[in-house]
Amino acid sequence: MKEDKFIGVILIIFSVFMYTQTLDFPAAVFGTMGAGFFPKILFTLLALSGVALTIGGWIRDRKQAKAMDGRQKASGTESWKKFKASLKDHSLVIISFFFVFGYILFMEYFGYMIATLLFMLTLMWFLAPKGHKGIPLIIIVSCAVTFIIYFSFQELLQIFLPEGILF
Amino acid sequence: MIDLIILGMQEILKPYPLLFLLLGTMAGIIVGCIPGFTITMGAALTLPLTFGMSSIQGLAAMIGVLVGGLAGGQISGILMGIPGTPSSIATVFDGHPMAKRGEAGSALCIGIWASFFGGLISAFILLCFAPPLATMALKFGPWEFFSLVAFGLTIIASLSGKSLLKGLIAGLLGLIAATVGADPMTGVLRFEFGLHGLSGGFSFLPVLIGLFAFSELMGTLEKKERAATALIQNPKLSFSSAKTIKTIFSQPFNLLRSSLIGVFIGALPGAGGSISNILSYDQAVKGSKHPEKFGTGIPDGIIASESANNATGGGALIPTMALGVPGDAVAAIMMGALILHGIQPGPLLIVEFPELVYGVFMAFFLAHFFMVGLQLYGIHLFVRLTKVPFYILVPSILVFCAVGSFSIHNRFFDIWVLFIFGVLGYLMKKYAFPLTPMILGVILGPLAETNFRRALQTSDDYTLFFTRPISLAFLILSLISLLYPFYQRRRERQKKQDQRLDSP
Repeated sequence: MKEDKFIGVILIIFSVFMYTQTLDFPAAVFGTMGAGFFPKILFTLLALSGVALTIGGWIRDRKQAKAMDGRQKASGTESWKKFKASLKDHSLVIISFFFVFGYILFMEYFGYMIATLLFMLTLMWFLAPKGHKGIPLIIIVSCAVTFIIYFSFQELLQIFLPEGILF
Repeated sequence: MIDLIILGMQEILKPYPLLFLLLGTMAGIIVGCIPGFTITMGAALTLPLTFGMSSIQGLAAMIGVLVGGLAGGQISGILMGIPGTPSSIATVFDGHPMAKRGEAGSALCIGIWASFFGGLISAFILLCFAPPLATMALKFGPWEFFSLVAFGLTIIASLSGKSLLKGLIAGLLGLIAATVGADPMTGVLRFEFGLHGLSGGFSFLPVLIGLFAFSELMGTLEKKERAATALIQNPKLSFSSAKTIKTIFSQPFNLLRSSLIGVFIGALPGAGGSISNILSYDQAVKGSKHPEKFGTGIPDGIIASESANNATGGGALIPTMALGVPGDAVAAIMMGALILHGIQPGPLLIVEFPELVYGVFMAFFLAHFFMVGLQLYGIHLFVRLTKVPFYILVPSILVFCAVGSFSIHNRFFDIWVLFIFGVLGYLMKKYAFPLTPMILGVILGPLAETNFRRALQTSDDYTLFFTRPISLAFLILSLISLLYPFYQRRRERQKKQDQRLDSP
């Protein structure tokens, strides 16, 4: 429930910021509606929802705190520990996101072939459970997928894939 | 109507559409039987491939994925106790116990044929109801379009998950994402922040793949234990189709009721197979003469769940094809396919492209025959596929997502859009925000805005939204769908109170 409060506040800030962007839009020529009309409505609604979310989260937190009266209330360091623990739980996901980020960057400069091959080899190796690495399988599948996609898209469907410095 | 059916048949009974229908069904079964990969993901990944095909071929492929996926989920559900897709959750309740008893083959056979008949029933209803809806849609003006879209948005917000507020926020985020780029009516560039890529707006496809496929893929990585889960050793896969069909037809009421539930839920914009199979199982238990036997491994449970989930596919096509409001996430992706091919989905689709619409209906009908054939004869192969380890699958599919996103407009920017919406989608899932309202916001947003402004340009009168009967009807339905969850919650609270009073 704590997260709800943060998310609500983020939404409010986002809405306000974006709303100010709409003030720059040229005023309408015909009638009352210009380009800014609909976005303004949306951001107003989003801000209101953000407020509702924040208030809802706050109310739920207070109910929880009252129920826990007498028991130890979570201190600041405890919630930081919890956060660190949850980061560790999700370490695979977070690192994989970085892998993908790197893959896209790499593809922009070095092209599809090399980037994809490298990406698949490294990520598969990283994700494979220890002791069970199955390296030959990883190499075979990486090459196979890279080339199959290359052929289906570039040759069969005539859709061109990113080209980099090398190829 | 017969002439339209013939028209549809002519469209689909050609070599390429049939081939893609078959391939799609096969892909669907594969996607369906691997736990962690949803049908929506499969359809989203099929979308870039359809770019090079004609409209009917592309749609046939996706219908195949839909039908195959809905039926494929039972394979891992029955054999491993893990539903392959959320549409087969209830199949596990009775399917897995049957398999443990050594009757895996019978359970699978029941599921396959229940899927078949459920789908056929819904295809029949689809054919009956889509045309009348479409003729009503001919009377639509911009007021009706807007109110329809509003209804679509509210109902998916209210049906998706526990928090109506979070559903609405997700929908709003989708609508906002759709405003980025050139304003459809005045051409003013909105929210591009000087970035060249944003001036074209967010492409629908990378947003879709990012939100649904990318985020889900990342979700599967959360558990570090990804070794292949224990399949039942040497499952007895023998079965008799004749006996199975007899079993199914010995419970006509169960079959019919479950299928109808499936069609109805499918027809509701935003609700799909994940809800209908559980609801149908629940109703089967309540309506049965021997409710205590459910969960021990009886055919009734499998029939209820599997016929409902395939019927949902047909139901979802009704609003999608007749009104242009997606019945569920996969239907939304199909609409994306239509848009990709330059065809605007909406109430006029049946009128302008009847051969396409009826081709799709016929494809849905035929896919079930392919599905039965593939599953009955290919069962051993599909079982083997469930053993592929995740560390191989996930990177492969990630690459596919990236390439797919790039391929539509040949823009690198689109891959970044994929990534950003993937992160966003993952965070949304983590914090219990439903995803479906957001993608529907992205699709329906431009429609809502354009029609709203067009309506007010035509006439300054705001009250026309309320005085025109069809528009008023949709607005009332929107209100009902917004209030319904509160009513439901109050009823549940009443029930719990009554139960507490009954038990000492």
